[in-house]
Order: sequence, then structure tokens, then C-alpha cells
Amino acid sequence: MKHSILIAEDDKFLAETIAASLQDHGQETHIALDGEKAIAVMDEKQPDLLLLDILMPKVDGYGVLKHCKEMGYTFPIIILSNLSDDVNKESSKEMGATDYFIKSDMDEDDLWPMVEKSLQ
Amino acid sequence: MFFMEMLRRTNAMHFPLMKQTRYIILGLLALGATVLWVANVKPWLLEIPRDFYFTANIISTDNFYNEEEGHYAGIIYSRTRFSYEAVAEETGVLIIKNLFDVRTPDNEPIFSVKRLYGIDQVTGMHISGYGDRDRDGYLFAPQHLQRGEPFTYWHINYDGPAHMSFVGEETLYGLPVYRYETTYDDVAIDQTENLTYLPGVGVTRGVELEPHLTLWVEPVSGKLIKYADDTIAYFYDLKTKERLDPWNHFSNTFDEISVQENTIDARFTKTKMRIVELYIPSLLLIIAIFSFLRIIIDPQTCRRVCSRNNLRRANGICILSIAILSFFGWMIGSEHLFRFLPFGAAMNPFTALCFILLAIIILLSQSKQKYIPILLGVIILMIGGIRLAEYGGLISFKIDLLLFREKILSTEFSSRMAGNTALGFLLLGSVPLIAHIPLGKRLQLASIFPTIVILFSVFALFAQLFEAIQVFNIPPFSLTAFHAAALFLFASFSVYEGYSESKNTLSLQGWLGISGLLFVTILLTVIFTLLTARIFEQDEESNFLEQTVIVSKSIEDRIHTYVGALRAGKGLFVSSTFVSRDEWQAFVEGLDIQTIYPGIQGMGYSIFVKPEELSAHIASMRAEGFPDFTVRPPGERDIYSSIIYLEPFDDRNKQAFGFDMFQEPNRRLAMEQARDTGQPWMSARITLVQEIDEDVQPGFLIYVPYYGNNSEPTSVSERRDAIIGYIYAPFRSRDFVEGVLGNTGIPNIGLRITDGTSTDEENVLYDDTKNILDTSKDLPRFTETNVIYVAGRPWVLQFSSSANYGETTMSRIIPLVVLFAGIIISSLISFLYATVVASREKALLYAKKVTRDLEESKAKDEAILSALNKAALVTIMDKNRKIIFANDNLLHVTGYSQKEIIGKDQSMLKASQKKDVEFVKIWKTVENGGVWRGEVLDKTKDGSLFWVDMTVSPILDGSGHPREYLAVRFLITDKKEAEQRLQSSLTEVQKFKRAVESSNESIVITDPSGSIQYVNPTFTRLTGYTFEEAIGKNPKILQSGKTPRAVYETMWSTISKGETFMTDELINKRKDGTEYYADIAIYPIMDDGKTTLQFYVAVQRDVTQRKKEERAKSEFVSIASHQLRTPLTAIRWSLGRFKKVAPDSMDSNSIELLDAATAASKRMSETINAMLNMSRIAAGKITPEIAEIHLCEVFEELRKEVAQQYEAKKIVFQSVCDNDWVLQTDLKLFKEIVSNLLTNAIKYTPNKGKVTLEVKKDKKVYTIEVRDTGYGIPKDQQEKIFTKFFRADNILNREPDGNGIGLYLVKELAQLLGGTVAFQSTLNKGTTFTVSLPLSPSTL
Repeated sequence: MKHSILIAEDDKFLAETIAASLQDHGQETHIALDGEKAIAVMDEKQPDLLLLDILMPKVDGYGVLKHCKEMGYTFPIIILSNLSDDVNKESSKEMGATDYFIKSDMDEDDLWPMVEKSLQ
Repeated sequence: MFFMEMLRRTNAMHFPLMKQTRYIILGLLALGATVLWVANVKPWLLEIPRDFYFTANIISTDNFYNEEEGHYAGIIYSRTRFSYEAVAEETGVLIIKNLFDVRTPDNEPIFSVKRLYGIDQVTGMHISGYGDRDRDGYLFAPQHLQRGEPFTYWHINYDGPAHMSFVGEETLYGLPVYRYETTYDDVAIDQTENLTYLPGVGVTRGVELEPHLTLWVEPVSGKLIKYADDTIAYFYDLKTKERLDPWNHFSNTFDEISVQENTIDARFTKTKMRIVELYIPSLLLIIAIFSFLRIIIDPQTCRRVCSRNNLRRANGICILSIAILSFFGWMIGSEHLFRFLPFGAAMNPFTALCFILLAIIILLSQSKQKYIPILLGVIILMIGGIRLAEYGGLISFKIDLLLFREKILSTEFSSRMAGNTALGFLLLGSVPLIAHIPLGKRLQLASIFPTIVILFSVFALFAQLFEAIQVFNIPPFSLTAFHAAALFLFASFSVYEGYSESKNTLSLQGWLGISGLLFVTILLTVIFTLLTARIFEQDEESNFLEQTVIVSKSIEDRIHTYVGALRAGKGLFVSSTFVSRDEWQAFVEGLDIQTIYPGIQGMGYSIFVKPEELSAHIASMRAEGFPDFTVRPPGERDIYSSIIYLEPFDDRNKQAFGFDMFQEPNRRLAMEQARDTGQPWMSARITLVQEIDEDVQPGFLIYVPYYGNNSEPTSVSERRDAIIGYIYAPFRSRDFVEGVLGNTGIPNIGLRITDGTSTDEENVLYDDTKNILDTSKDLPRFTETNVIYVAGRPWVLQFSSSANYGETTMSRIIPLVVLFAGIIISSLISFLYATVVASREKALLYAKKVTRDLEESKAKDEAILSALNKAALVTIMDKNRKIIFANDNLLHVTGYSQKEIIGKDQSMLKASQKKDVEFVKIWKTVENGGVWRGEVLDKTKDGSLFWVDMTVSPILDGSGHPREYLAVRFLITDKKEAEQRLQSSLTEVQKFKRAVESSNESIVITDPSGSIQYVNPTFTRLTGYTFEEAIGKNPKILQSGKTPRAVYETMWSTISKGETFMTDELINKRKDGTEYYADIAIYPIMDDGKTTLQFYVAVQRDVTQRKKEERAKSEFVSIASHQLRTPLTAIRWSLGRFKKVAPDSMDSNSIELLDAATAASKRMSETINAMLNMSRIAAGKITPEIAEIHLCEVFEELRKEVAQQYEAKKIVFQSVCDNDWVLQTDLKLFKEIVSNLLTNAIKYTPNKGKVTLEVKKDKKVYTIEVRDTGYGIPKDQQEKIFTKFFRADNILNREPDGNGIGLYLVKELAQLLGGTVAFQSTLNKGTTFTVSLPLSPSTL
């Protein structure tokens, strides 16, 4: 089944790697390189899943989470960050994130099972 | 109470040693005196005196019965002398002669009785066996007669017991008296024996009396004030006892002069009795009681118990109970309470109320209460005001009349009562008000006012005692006023007590003295004033009395003159055979009596006319030329009398011409008396027939009987037979008196003349008192009553002077001058005395203080000397420095005996025998009279040395030269040694202090409560607080509020356990507000016993710079890691994808390269993670999350993680654990530790080696061991292996991969979990790492 997945990630190379990896599994991906863009895209496209980085220019991941909460979006949001401390993990979950993963602890192989699980 | 207080003080002051004895003696004396007084002195003072004499003039009347004619003949007057006189005295018995001597008005003896009584000298009771016969009852009445109490009296006339019954209470001349009556119902009074001269008496007839006797007695003294009897004597048949005709109806009554005299006498006796029986014994008893009370209570307690406050309380309660009792008495109206409560309050609830208020004031006067006494004072003032207004007549509540029992009071009494009490109330009410004026003048006023009240009260008492003296119209004080005065006295003492107590005022004694002096001098002034006034008064009174005597005599003489004239007229008739009308006219004209002695209406001649001669008489008179003549009034009578001559025969006298005087009872009585006695006789008051105009005056007539020519019959019956007519004279009484005194009467003296014994208005003959005195308003200054007997009748002459009779300017002013001068002099004397007393008291107080100080200092000196003797080594040297005294202490210390030391030179005690400079100085100082003190080294007998602190002082002789020398030594050897020790320890301390002060660390010392005791200069530099600012403060002043609370909590929990606390986490604040990081160590310093905290030492350093650097570094690492991770992740993930999406087109070399790139990027990622962890640990960002972990489960997970690695090297992996073991720790960190160790072990173990993971457990810790059979760690590098980035030489070549962070992390993390890491390694044999972790964090 084809889903629309929004990837909010400021590192263009990584964003594209993720997008390619997900496209391999037949998913439709949108890339936003900063928080502001991510908000614009999700308002327009209403994705089925949001992969969200925390440290982003303009509006950071928390800002995006806040927006989702305000708009009442119900799609799952997975945080993909390199901030490995627990404080960030806890606070982002409080703000509506479905899951939290640390990018450097993951391999590319781990990506799809994680997304698939969320989409279900 | 006052007296006691005074005694107490006097005693305490002058006779401190005799206190107790004196009180015993005083108490016994007072008690003895009371007994003696009551048993002996009182009876002696009150017994009937040896020269007892009582006398009274009695006006007696007789009215004899005419048995022939069957009616009473009419009243005849006689005068009786009634007296009691003590004639002899036998032990306790007085023989009294009682005389009853009856005489005619002209003093001719008629009848006299004399009896002798024997009476008890004390009670006045008749005693059997004395006198002329045995008698019952009292001479007069018993003393202290109760209302209604009967008694027996023995009256001279009836000579039988008179059982007197109480009738009522009356007032005679202001004196309350009881009236008693008897009719001798139970006793027959037979007079037969005394009257045998009467026809038939003693033979066939007897005489019995039916008396009615009335007595007026003064109840306290039992004195007879007045008696009156009214008795009918009857004949009776001796055989049949049948009562026959009366013989005589007679009466006796005291004349007013005697009654007045008796009241004065009784009043005096009554007062005397009260003083003797009540006041003096009470006073003595009170003195006795208080003296004994004083003995029972020991002086110390007494000072407390008999304090003025308690005395005041006692007074207050006393007054209160009296007032309440009085009130109660009034409520139930008990006669007995009235009688036995000797206070005015008993009579009057109004007064009682005032005293209740007063009592409350007294009780409150010393307490803090301020307003209640003022309020009560105002109420009393208001009551006083009301009473004053009542007295002044402004209002008329007649409260007393309403409240009192009416039988006790009259309006006059009430008014007087009001006046007497009003002033007292006003003064008393002012006391609390004045006393509350805030200081300054208060003390004087507060003391003076009670003094005035006391003076007033005493004056009232005084006036009561001398109530007869009436000067300045001071109304006589009633008994009630007297008692009220006593209460005022009582009360004002208390109030005085209450308020005079003040530290700054004079002593009570002083005030008493001054008040006493003022009182005595004013009393003397009053007495002198009264005496002066009395002298004037006596002079004026004797003038008055002289006037009354002259007037009385003149009136009596004038009557006698007229009687003489009438007798002359009778002479004319007796000597002539016939006296014609013309001759009578000529005779009367010749006497010219109206001109010479004006006051007589005329002189007439009246004859008896028998009924059968009446018409002839009228005819003959008409023939004389009086055609209208008739005998008037008309009517048939047994006998007629007719006035035939009356000269001057003017219009007025013509009215009497032919008037029948015999038919009118008053005139007839006088005519019959004159006829029967042959004496001139005066009629009672009548109205003359001559009264023809409106000015009707009372009148009287004097008759002289005429028995015919040359005839002077001697017996009554002869006289009655022979009587022809009367020479008589009619008088108009005012004309008569004016004839004697002139038209204006006596100057300034009013005269009232009454006929007979009663002074009632119906008997008034003449009264001009109202011309002199407005009796409704004023009282006469003097009064006098005289009785004159004129022609058989008594006349009472009452003289009243005008209100200001005889007063001259001098007599009025001089006593006032004496009074005012006296008061001024008294005040001056008292003032002077007050000044003297005040200064004397001051001096006395000072002297007392000095004496006490002296005694105290003497005692002190003694104490000092004995203490010195105990503590010091004392020697006394003579002038030549030879020892003459050495105390035991010195002998003991030096080892010398008395013999060895006395008389020796004092230098024997010196350590060095040579004369040193110091020694010379000592003697130079003391020989010049100075005192030397210093430390000296002495030596004992056996040569051992000792240090002393020696003081040498000269004992001077009278001229100020040293006589002897006193040396006092204190052993200070110990002290010296201690000093030396101290010196060295001081140096140590000094060193430490220097060290602390020069330390670069800021050092603070606080006491256990945290108060700063010391800061070193570095602290001052660091914080900006100076030493002075910091001392005493709490180190909290340094808190910025930014340090996490947890740090402080840990700090307190650590140091309170006595353990050292260290942290570099404190963010502190300087004085200027800037903040800094402090690396601090706090050391709790315990005492030697390690139990008590003595102080804290805090050493801190500013580590702000370091912290900043550290933070920058860790932030750098953190940011760098993050920034590296993301692209690295991208690379890794891309490589992963690349391998997946393009496997077919790649050759094996490419695939190998791809794998190498993937592995390198993965390693790089791990290295970055490790670095990140390291930096987080360094930044303290890792906090363990403690949870329960099952060791075996965790080991299995770890094994799986490393399985690929050990399998690749064919290494045997063994895991040993117990399924039950559970560890409380952070799972993630625990895994990180073990995982690192396992990775290392596998990495540094050659192929086919062995790695073992085992856990052991003891009481407190789990020990996790990771054993390998690897390369081992060279010995010389073992200590560095936990250092960051360190890698051992022997593995660098074999395993180039490795960042040198693993073991560092292991160590740091283990520490974070409260554990330790250790290892044991043998090169090429293997290494064992041991991690010890507590079973749970609580066992940390």
C-alpha cells in the first residue's frame, strides 16, 4: 500500500537517502529541509507519517510537534534525531511524538521495519 | 491598726533587739488593763458617788373633797422639794436620804416625808438590811434599760414597789427618754398610819391611795429625768374595807427647770458611760489583740502579713461587713441591731451604701485599678451633694424619713443628719479623685484631704462630747452623727493609709507627726476659740439671767404690792362699821395705785347675797341712783355674789357692776380658796367682763376675803360661816405686765407667762416673745424658765433672748480672730515642723544607709581577710623588714616553722640572696607609702624555688608613715609553667594562623549553628565581605539561589553525619552580587571524643574559570559529535543501500571496499558515541535510573550482542550467574560497562581463547568478573589504563582499532553507579576485570 510520508530533515543527503530507501518499498515521500517547510507541506499534503528531526533551521522539531498538536493531526510522528539524551526523548513524546529513534544507532536496514510498524 | 503600724515602725527603727519582748509586754499590759478597767476602774468610775445628790422642784396640787357638800373643793398649789442625798457609805452600799418636803407657795411647811434607803453603789438597787426598811427595785431605774423592759422603782410617797411598764420613747430637751407608768395594781397603798389627824382615821376609817405614777428615765444611765403622779386618796371603812368618800385628789410634777437640769446631768452621765464602758475597753482590747497577733506572727512574716496593704484590706473588709450588717439590720428592722451596732450606718441604708462604696475604694486603692475608685468617689460625692442640698432645703427627699423607721426619726433629726453626713461624704468622695491626679501635686493633696476628713471627724467627736456648747450655731450632734463621725475617722484612716504610701513621701510616722501636730494645734485653736466665745457668752448669759431675775422679782413684787393694796382695802372694811361708795372711791383714789403701780384694772368690793335677800339688794342699789342695776347673769342660784363697788368706776369697770363672780368656776375656785384659807388668792386665767372692745386680753383676779367687822375667824367652818364678801382686783394680764415692764417689754428678751403647771397655750397670760424673735426661723440664744408663786398660784415665766442677744461686734469678731489666727499659726507651725521632719527623715535615712553600708563593708572586709588567709601566703614585717607574722599557708609552702621564721629578715624567702635592682625598687615603693606588686621567685627551706605573685603594702601609722609591711603572695609556679606552655602553643597557633591567612583557599570557620567565627583574607578577597561583615553571619549570605537544591540537601546530610562534604557544584554570590562557581570542602570538626561537633571548616575555591572551560570543552565535544553523527549516519545508510541495490554489477573487490567503508563508518560512529558519552559524563549530564535487573537475563542479552565477535575468533565464551540474583542499578549503564569489558576481552584475546563472565555475591556487593586469556597489560602501563585515550603498547600493533575511551567510560560509569573497577593482569596470560557494585544504591 502506498503511503505519503513526510521527511523533515535538514541534512539534504540524509533526507534523500531516507526518501530513496522508503521509495524502494513503494512509498510516496516528501522532503522538507526545515521546520517551516515541513509545516507547509503537511498542511498541504496531509501525510500518513511524519519522520521528524529535532535540530532544524527556522522551526525546530518541537515547533513542528506543537503545530501538529494545534492542528489536531492524528498521523504518527517518528522522531529521528541524534540527540540521544533522555530529556529530549521524554519531552518529544509528551508533545505527541509516536516514537523516538537515534539515527546513529540505526542501520539503513532498520529503517523500513520501523516505518512499516508505524504505518500499521 | 494605725497605732500598730506606728509601733511596728518605731520598734523596727529604734529597738530592733527588743521587738518581741516589747509586744508581749504591751499585749499583756493592754489585756491586764482591759481586765482591770472592766473589773475595777469601770465600776469605780460609774458607781454612785459618795456625795451623790439629786434634787428637783415639784409643783404639787391638792384638791380636797368636801364631804359635807359632796364635791371637790378645788385645786390648791403647793411647792415640794424632792431630793436624794447620800448620807453614809458602807462597803458597796450607799445610804440615801430621800426627802419629800411640801410647802405653801409662801414657803410655809405643810408636810414632809423622809426615808432612808440602802442601795448598791454600782447598780442602784435597793439592798435589804439597810435603810429604814427592806425595799425592792431601784433607786431610779437600771442602767442600759432595753426598750420595753420593765423594772421596779420605789417611790417615797407610796412606799411600795412600783412595777413600771414601758409606754414609749419621748424626747425631752433633745434627750431620748423612755416613759414608764404604773398604777400599783398589785400593791395596796395604805396611808392610814400617816393620816391619823384626819377625823376618824385610825379609829373607824382608813385611807388608801389609788396612784398613777409616770416616770421619764434616760435608758443608758437609768437616771430619773422627771416624774409625775396623779393620785386619789379614799377613805375606807376599817372593818368592812368598803371604800368611802375621797379625801384628796393630788398631783406632783417636776417643774421645767428641774427637768432641764436633769437632762443635762443625764446626758453627761450617758457620754461618760459610753466612754468608760465601751470606747476605752474596746481600745485597750484592740491594742491587746494586735500586740498578741504581732507576737504570734514572727517579725519576718509580719512584715508581709501586717503590710499596709493587708491592713488596708482588713479595714476595707471591716467597713464592708459593718455596712452589710447595717443594711441587713435595716432590712429586717431589728431593734437589736439598731441598738448593738454602734454606728450611724445601722440606721440608714444610704449611709450603709456609702460605706460599701468606701470599702471598695479602700480595697482597690492600691491595685492597678484606677477608674473604679474614681467612679465610686463620684457616686459618694453625688450622695454627699444630695444630702447637702437636702440640708440646705433645696430639695426635700426626706430620704431618712422614708428609709428610717418613723419612730426613730423626726424631720428635724433627718435634716440634721443630712447636714452632718453631707460634708463628710463630700470630703470622702473627693479623696479617690484627688488621689488620682497624676503625681506632682497629687502627693500633697492626697495626703491633705484625708487629713481634713480626719480633722472633721475628730471635730465631730469633740463636738459630740461637748454638745452643750453651742457656738456659731453648730447644731448639736446627734448620736447618729457621732457614730457617723467615728466611721469617717475609721474610713479616712484607711483611705489615708492607701494613698499615703509612696516612696517619695514622708514616712507614715512623719505624716502622723505632722497631722498630729496640726490636729493638736487646731484643736487647741478650736478650744481657745470656744473658750473665748464662752467667756463672752457667759458674760452675756449672766446679764440675761440677771434680767430674768429682776423681771421675775418685779412681777412677784408687783403682785405683792397689789395684794398689799387689797389687804389695805380689807383693813378699811374691817376697821369701819360701814364703808360707803364715796368712802371706797376716796380710798382707792387716795391709794393712787394705778398711777404708782400701773397694771391693775381697779379695786372692787363684792358681797355674797342670799337668794332671799336678792330683790332687796337690787332695790337698795337702784335706790343709790343706779336704776339699771341688777345681779348678773340672771337665773336662780343657791347663793349670789354681787360687785357693788369697783373704782375707778369708768365705762370698762361699769361692765362688772353687779356681776356674780361666784357662779363662774374659775373665779369661784379662787374665791373659795380665799374664803377657806383667809389668804389672798389668785384666780386661774380668765377673761374679764370688762373686755368691751376688740382688744381682748386674758385676765386674772385676786381676792382678799372679808369676814365682817373686827372679825378674823381661824377655822375653815368659821370662815365659811362668817364670809361676807371680797376685796378684789381685776387684772388684764398684758396691761399688768406692761404696767410692770413698760410698753416695750424687756429689751431683747421675750417673756411668756403661763398660769399653773402646764405651759400650754390655753394658760398663756402674756407672751411678747415674737416681738423679739421669729420663732419659726431663729432659736433664742439664751432661755430661762422661772416659777413664781403669787397669791396661791404658780406662774411659769419663760424668758427667751433674741437670737443675737448681747452680741457685740467685739464678741463676734474676737473668737473669729482667735480662730483664724490660730489656724494660720497652726499651719505655719505644722509647715515648719514638716520641713524639719522631712530633713530629719532624710538625714535619718541617710544615717541608716551609712550604718548599713558600714556594717556591710566591715563584714565584707572580714570575708576578704579570711579568704585571703586561706588562699594566699601572708607575712607581716616590721619596720626593719623582720618577719613578725606568717600565716599557716606560708609555713606550709616554705617548710619553715614559726620559730624559724619569726624575727628573721624577710629576704630569707628570696631565691637569690644578692640585692638586685628589682628588690630595691620594691622597698623604695612601699617605704614611700606605695603598694608594690609583681612576680618574684622565692625559695623554700629545702631550697626549691617557686614563683609568687607578691603584693607588698605598707601599714601606715597615724602620721601616715609605714609602721609595718604586709606581703601577700600567691603561688604562681603552675601559672608560670602554663604560661610557658601557652607561649609555645601560641607559636604553633600562630603558625597555623599564618598558614590559614596566607592560604589561597578561602577558609571559613563556623560554629555548629553555622554562625561564621572566622574568615581568612582570601575569603574577603573572594566574596567582597570584610572580616567584620562576615563574622556572626551565616554562610547562606553567599547563596545565589542557583545551586540545585539537591546539592545542599546532600551537603547537610553529609556534614550532619560528621563526614566531609565536597562539591564543585556550588554557584555562590559575592557581596556585589556577581556569581561564581565554588569548589568547596566542608569539614565538620569534632571534639577529641568524636562525639560533639565543635565547628565547621569550609575551604572553597573559585572554579568559575575552570567550569567555563570544561563546559566549553564538553559543549564542543557534544556539538561536534552531533554534527558528525548526522552525515555519518547518512554515509552509513547510503552504503547499506548501495550494497543492497547494486550487488550484481559489482565485482568482489568493490564489494570488499564497500564492506570496509561500511565497517569504518560504523567504527567511527561508535567512537563518536563513546566520545559523546564521555563528554556527557564529564558534564554530569548522566543520572542513573535505578531499576531492578535480573542478572542472568542481562548476561544473556550481552552474550547475544557479542556473539558474532567471539564466534568470529572461535573464542569460548562462558557466562556464570545465579537465576535468583537481582541487582538494583541502571540497566543501560550496567550494560554499557559490561559490554565494554566484554568487547575488550574478546578483542584482546587471540583466537581460540576463552572469555568468562561471572558474577559473585557477598553481603554488600555483587562482583562482576570478566576474565580473558588475552595479551594482558604490561605492568608498567597498568596504572594508566583507565586514562582517556590510553592504549597499551602491546596491543597497538595487534588491534589498531580502538579509541582508548572504553575503560575510561567503564570506570566513570561504575563510579556513577556507586561501584569500583579493578583488574588483575599477567602479560600474555590474561586479564581479569572486576566491577563491584552495591546490592542496591541505598547501601552506597
